[in-house]
Amino acid sequence: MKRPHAGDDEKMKKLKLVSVDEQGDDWASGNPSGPLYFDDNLLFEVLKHVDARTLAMAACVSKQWHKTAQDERLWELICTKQWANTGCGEQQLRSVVLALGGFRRLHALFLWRLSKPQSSSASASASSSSSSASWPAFQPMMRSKPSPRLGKDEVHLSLSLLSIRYYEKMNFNNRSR
Amino acid sequence: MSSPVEQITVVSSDGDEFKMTVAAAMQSEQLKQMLTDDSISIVKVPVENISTEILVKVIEYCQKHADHEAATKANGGGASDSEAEELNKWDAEFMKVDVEDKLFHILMAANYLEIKGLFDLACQTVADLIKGKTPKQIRKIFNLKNDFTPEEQERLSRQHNCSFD
Repeated sequence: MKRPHAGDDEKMKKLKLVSVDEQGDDWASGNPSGPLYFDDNLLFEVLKHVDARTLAMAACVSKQWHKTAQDERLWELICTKQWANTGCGEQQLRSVVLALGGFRRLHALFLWRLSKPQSSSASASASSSSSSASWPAFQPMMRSKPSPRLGKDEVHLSLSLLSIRYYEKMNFNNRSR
Repeated sequence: MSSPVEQITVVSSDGDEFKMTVAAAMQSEQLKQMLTDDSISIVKVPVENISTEILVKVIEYCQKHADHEAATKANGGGASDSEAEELNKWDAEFMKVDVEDKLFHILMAANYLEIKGLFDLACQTVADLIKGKTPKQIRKIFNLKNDFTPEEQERLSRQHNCSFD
């Protein structure tokens, strides 16, 4: 883990949960049970199990949550979960995506849109197929059932778009002509 | 293993003592290491961070899963689909706690004692708790303060298309 917590066990992360009394007066303690402070690593473990939308929401909760929700590893999990077959090795994929801007950006810019309907389209007709509670706005564009599993083509397309964007930015910054 | 103990005693932070079978204790990596280390003779294991209420739940989980493992072994090593499903159902019921605090403490206990199954289960349950929720709702669940400045909030809500209200 890249964020070692003071006092952590080497073998397994000893994640701390302290009550507000030990933590000092950082948090308002109006609630009788007191707020609980989740260690970064513990939060990370929990966020491993959420979907993209929830992870984006998590980034808006507090500074600590924001920091943890930005973690590339979480977004890598989210991206690769959707991919049926990327056609290349995990490590290779990771190094390419990280070099081009990271999984979070990849998801935000391209994958999210591949799974979302057009914002201007009338989505009422497909309302019956919306089955996932965590994606209330998600309705398949032209498919009969919600199927966010992306194949090799979509993966390659989104990676290509990411690299084009990266290249454009790079060119712009280094323009010397 | 030369140790002849069949049960160990764990002591909660409240001072209450509970007996656990070795099989159940082995669900916890921490306890397992103590048990397999011949240089340590176990009498009582204090678990300072875990209250009685939570420890009871944890022991229940360990015992159930230890029993399941034993039954699986007795049947020749492979758990049938229905048995696995039954265990999953049991796990789901087990995680239905009345207050969320309890859930968080179970998560902590599972981490402290290194009980992988319970830890993963608790993580998933907490994750399910926040799925589809707005930041404000999440803050309410965890009793967190919104420590962003108004400018940061503005930037974030544009970026993530989320509302802070």
